[in-house]
Amino acid sequence: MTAYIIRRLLQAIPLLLGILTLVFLVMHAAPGDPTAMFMRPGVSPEVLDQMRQNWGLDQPIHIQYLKWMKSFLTGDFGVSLTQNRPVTAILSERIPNTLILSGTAILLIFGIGIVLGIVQAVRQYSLLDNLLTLGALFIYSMPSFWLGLMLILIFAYKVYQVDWWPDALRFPASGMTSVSYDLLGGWGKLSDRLHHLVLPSIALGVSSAASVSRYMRSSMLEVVRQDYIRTARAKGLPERSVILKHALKNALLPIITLLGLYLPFLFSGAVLVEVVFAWPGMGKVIVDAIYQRDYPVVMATTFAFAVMVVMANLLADLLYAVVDPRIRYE
Amino acid sequence: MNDASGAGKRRRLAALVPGLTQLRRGERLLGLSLLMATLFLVAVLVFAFDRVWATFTAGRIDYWLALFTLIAGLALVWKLGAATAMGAGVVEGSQSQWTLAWREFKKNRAALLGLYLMAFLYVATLLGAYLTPHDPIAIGDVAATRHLPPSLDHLMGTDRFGRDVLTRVLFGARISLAIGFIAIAISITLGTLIGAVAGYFGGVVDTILMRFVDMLISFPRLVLLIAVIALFEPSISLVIAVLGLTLWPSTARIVRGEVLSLRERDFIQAARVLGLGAPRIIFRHIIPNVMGPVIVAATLGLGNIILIEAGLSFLGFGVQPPTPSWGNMINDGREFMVTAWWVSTFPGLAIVLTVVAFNLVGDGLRDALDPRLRIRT
Amino acid sequence: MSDIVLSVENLRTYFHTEDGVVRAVDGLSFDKTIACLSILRLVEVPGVIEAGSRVLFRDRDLIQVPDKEMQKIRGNDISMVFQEPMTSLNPVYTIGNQISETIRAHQATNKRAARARAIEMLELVGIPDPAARVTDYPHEFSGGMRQRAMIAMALACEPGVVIADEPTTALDVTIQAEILDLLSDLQARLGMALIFVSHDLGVVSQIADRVLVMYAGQAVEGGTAAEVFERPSHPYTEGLLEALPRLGRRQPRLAVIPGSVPNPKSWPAGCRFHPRCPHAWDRCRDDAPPLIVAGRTCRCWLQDDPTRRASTGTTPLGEASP
Repeated sequence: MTAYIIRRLLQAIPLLLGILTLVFLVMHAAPGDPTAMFMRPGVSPEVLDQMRQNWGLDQPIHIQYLKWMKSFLTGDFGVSLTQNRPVTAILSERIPNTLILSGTAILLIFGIGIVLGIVQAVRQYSLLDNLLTLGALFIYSMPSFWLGLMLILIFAYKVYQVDWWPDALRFPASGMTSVSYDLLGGWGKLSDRLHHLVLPSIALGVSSAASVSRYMRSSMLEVVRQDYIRTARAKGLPERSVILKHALKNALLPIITLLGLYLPFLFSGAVLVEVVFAWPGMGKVIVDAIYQRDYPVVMATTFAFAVMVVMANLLADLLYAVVDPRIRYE
Repeated sequence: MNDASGAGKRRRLAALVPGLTQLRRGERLLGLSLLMATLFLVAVLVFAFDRVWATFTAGRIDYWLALFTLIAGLALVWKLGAATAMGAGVVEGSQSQWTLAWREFKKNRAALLGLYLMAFLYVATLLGAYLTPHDPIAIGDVAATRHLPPSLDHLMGTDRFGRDVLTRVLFGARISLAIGFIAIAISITLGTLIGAVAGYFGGVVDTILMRFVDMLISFPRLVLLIAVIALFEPSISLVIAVLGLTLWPSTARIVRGEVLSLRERDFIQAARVLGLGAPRIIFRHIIPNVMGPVIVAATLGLGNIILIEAGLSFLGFGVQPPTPSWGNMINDGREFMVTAWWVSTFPGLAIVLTVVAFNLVGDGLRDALDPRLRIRT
Repeated sequence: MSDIVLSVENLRTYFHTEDGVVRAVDGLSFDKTIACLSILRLVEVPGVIEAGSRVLFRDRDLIQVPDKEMQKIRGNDISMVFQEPMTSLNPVYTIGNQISETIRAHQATNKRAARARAIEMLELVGIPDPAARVTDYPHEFSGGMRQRAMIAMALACEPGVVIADEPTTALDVTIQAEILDLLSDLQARLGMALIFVSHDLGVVSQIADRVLVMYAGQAVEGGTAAEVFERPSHPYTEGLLEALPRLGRRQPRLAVIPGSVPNPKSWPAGCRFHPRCPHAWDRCRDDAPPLIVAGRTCRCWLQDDPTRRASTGTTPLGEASP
């Protein structure tokens, strides 16, 4: 097991270096350089040259590359051009927010997806199964940002709500906390945060949940046909434990690999959903940075996203090894 | 005598209108869809006659496009009606992979529905200029026309510049679909080639290409896209290029997997023994055999690309206003959602409908083209 | 209560598929796995056990028993050993877990007692070092050991009847012999009834007291092992025995039964064996013979009319052997 973990960790290192190189190449393939944003009539060419020198842009590309790699690997992501503070500080502020949002969404995705998938497989071809399949088709064809806007229309805007709309179904449309957050007590703070999480996490997670339920359904149907399920029935186990013990654990194996596959999609969605809900996460940071041509922030955030995906794939592999006893000693 | 000629006349009349013969024979689905298509096209011709007429004088390119679609659509429906009325159908005995796949596909109701939906969307999109009298870009009397709620005059209301949302949705469809098609064509071609090369040659080539694929797949797509687009000035051709050049890895993975198993099959071995060169084997023997999964990936990918393009345009990195695209229209309406919900809602519905259609067709194609699945069910 | 533990009457399991009804089990008969599964009521759609079928277990008709009751009977009173030990064990749970789970499903014991019993069972079926192997996963067992574990699982609740569906087919020949010895040894020691399904006549003659021969979804002949093997009365049994290669007898070619097994969607009219039978005459083509249970159980018109036996036909082996 330990050897397996170490091997997987070692495999991730060249991948991360490659990603880093790719980020560097992409940024330097672009026409112009960061000084472009300071290029305006009042600024003399000498000042721009001075800037280039400060940022090391006058050096040959391979020197720049090595320097850049060295600073990235030591955790120095440079200084934001617009906010005048280290990129590391910005990211460490924002990464947790994105993780909270995506974490909640992942819980939703796999929770809802797995439960619905089981129900559909057990009641294959029933009316419920068909309705859920149809519903899933529409839901995963929805753009997350549009779904977010529609959720805001329905659940946040009083103008469109009927008078008897229950208060429990009203949710805030933006931000992570209310204006009065600091005045709230411990439980009040928690419920305020959870309240703000509801709409964005649904907008972010529900389409992947629909897709997970499809995979789960077919995975369950595949497993239910296996010989060991027949054995479990022949042993006289109640149907409940045949499905929830013997079938479920086997059916979950392929679903775990989905975790790694879905994460890139999830983060893509997070960029859009964070913009829609003004959620102060990495997605919002990168979009704002691009509007303002803040290259150091763009590069670092892109890299951070990729690192998170690689990590999540690693986690999925390890989880797989924990659940499937056959993989351990390979 | 009289009776017989009356029946004959009726039959001849039925032959003139596509679908009637099929309906008489009891082929309800085919008959109804042909009839509906005819009625729709003729209705456009009648109700938008002034615009059809204006085609010859106004000199607007989209009028010509619509006219061409109208004529081609009518001809196609009539031809199809005549062909199926003869009872010819599929020639028995031609059992090629594609005939089999089509037969399998036809059994799938949901997939057929998706196909109809797709056809309808395309025709509606191309006929756009005839379907609505409004201009998608020109701004009129803003004070009088801004944010009008949906009504008979403006079925989907108007936006903040007083432009008709339905018109913009129809024109946006053209741009979104075109971007999707060109980008998917680029990425599928690249993906198939790279996957086939990696799978066929194996070894170092395979390792290098696949590690590169791993790297590209590690980036959240949208993040990679906006990071690249941010370096240039956003434009439609840039969006197409970037989408096409970054979305191929998933296709490459699929193709590589297929090729790995194909490579060991007898006919490839035989081709090698015959001394055929690698390019010839790849193009003549391998690629035709992986077309099934590639077409499925392309159809499902098209839905996906439309979603991504909408996301890009929504963020302002894709199609730039005033050119309408579904994504930037949703963004346009976002600020005014409290007063005008329709501006953002309808383009989104258009996206959902389109992507649903592509997904239905893609799922149907997968079931029809994937022999492994065919055996299983 | 009679001393007959299990009796099966008129069991019919049909599979209603799109292409037609597949009559897998017809009349008082066994068609291998399907028949076994029918007894336990584990046939899955589109398979249906037709009305009128009766499976009597200790004088209770299992076909009529409610689902909840049936579940208590499975594994507890009647259990089953399957053909494929490689795929019949759940790969993600330990052997011990899977055995003690069976015990806990039927007996009110705690986890530790069930586990102790699982170790005991593994020892009984000859797994070395059972206390250590109980935490192993199926993939850590060899094929023979898995089948032993399956047997341990089937016997854990001391059932009255054990159905073994070709339990040795998937195993090596040497392992086959071990498993057979184990089964007959345990059967004698624990005093349970063993239904052993096989197409290996050597194995059957070794293990069985009574034999029921099936053809095309129907029972065609039954009797004690000695009767059936030494004095077969149905042409199919005769053909089967004739087809066996024998030590000490030189033959230019092995005898075969001509033709092949008919399609279960459309069994031949009349006697299902008649197209392949050397003695068949008009009656066999038109009327299906009933299963006569008088002394010897047999389904053949020859019983009515022994003079019809074709002279060129094979002679019963019992008489032929020197």
